[in-house]
Amino acid sequence: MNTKEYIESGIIESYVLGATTVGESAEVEQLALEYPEIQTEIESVSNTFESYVLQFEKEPPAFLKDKIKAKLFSEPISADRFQAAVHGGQATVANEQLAGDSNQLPVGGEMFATNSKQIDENPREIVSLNGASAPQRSIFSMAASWVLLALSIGGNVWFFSNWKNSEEKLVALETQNQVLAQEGKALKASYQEEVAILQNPDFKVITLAGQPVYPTAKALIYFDKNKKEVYLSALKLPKAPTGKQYQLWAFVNGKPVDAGLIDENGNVLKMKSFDKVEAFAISLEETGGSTTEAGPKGAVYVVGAV
Amino acid sequence: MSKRKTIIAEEALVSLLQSKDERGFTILYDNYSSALYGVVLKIVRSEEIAADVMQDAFVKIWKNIEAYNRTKGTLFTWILNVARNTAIDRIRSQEFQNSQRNQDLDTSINFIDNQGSSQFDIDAIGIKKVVENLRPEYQQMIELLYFQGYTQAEVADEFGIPLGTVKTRVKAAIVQLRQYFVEFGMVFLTGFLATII
Repeated sequence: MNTKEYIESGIIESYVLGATTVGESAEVEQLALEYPEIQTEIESVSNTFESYVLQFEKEPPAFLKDKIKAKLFSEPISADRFQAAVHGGQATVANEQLAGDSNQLPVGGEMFATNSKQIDENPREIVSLNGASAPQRSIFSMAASWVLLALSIGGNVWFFSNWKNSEEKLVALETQNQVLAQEGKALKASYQEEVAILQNPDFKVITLAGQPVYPTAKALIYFDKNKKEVYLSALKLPKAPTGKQYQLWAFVNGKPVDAGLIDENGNVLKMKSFDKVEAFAISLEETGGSTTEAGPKGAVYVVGAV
Repeated sequence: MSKRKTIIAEEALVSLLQSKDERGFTILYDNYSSALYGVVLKIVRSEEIAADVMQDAFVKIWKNIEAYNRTKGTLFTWILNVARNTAIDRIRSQEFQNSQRNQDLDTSINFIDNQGSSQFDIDAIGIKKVVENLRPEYQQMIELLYFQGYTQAEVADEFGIPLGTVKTRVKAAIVQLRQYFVEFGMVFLTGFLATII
């Protein structure tokens, strides 16, 4: 059969509303057994309609619960009730209730009040808490679940962005930390080297004084006569313009000899070694420097005799 | 909503009821009585009769729990049907018809008063919204078929609406309700997300 057409006909809605005849209802139920999609549609329509019906929820009068309970449990013990009572070890309870039956008029509400209190306390302890009961299909529960979902999504978005931020900050901090550590290490090495030089009695310190082009310029040369090594320190020179570079010159036998190029950071620079040096000078040259043969071409900034 | 509801698997509740355990009744009553009472009251329109119908309905549920078949639907669907059918039987009984004739005016005034006083709780505001959103001709179908117990043919006869139209309107009413409940959730969600993002 064409189940889609059947579902479209509206018979299921009428069935759920209890507006079908006995024959029609039987037919719907039979078809539901045969076709799962019809069963699913019945459940879906029931769900929707029950959500609607739950809008009319109203607390019944307080006395009703005890009244119904009295009616259910004070009736003569039927066969299965008796069995349940015996199996459940509730024979005494049943007897009490039978006895209570005759007392019903004089004792009245008080007895039922005690009774209901006892029972009320019980279920929460004994009943298992797995699963949910049906009236949760009310619109308010539905709204509550949407709110919970929204809260959860919102919360996740918030936590995720926070987490991402923290992650980024952490990476930045780690990088910064590494840079600092490297800088610290380099600085330490450079100071250790300088201190070692200063503490070495073989080193001679030569001060190079500023020349007319830049009178405040200054530099220190550490010169190891034994090892013939030259170290440059405490440079106070104007920043070399682009395309230019400072160059150290040693004066040997009255002639300038290339002693090495100075990089832009130039703290202690190990320069070329010399034997008989008379003086040192620094000039500003084109990047790459000049040669011994050509001699310094640019202005000489500092000069100092050994 | 009832103040105390015990969370319990439907299966566990059914087996408590089937073994005629008093705890079964207590949970059943606490969890479902306000839902059932709301429907019953809307059908019989008298608190006194509604209480009486509730008693009958619970006795039927208690005695016929063996007849409940999980494969046919949820426990709630089943007990709701029992309560609704008990209420419909009552308004069709001769006794009810007679008492209505005498008490009609009193009861309806009483009923309106009670409804009026409950309009201010949150539940009632929810009801108003859903009912207002349902088209009048759909509301009428649900009212007649479900709350007054008319058959489709009776509605067609008494109100001069073609049977086909009755069927389409019932279908459309449910479709609109379904959309409403989905939208209600969506509006809530988007509104909520908009405030936090």
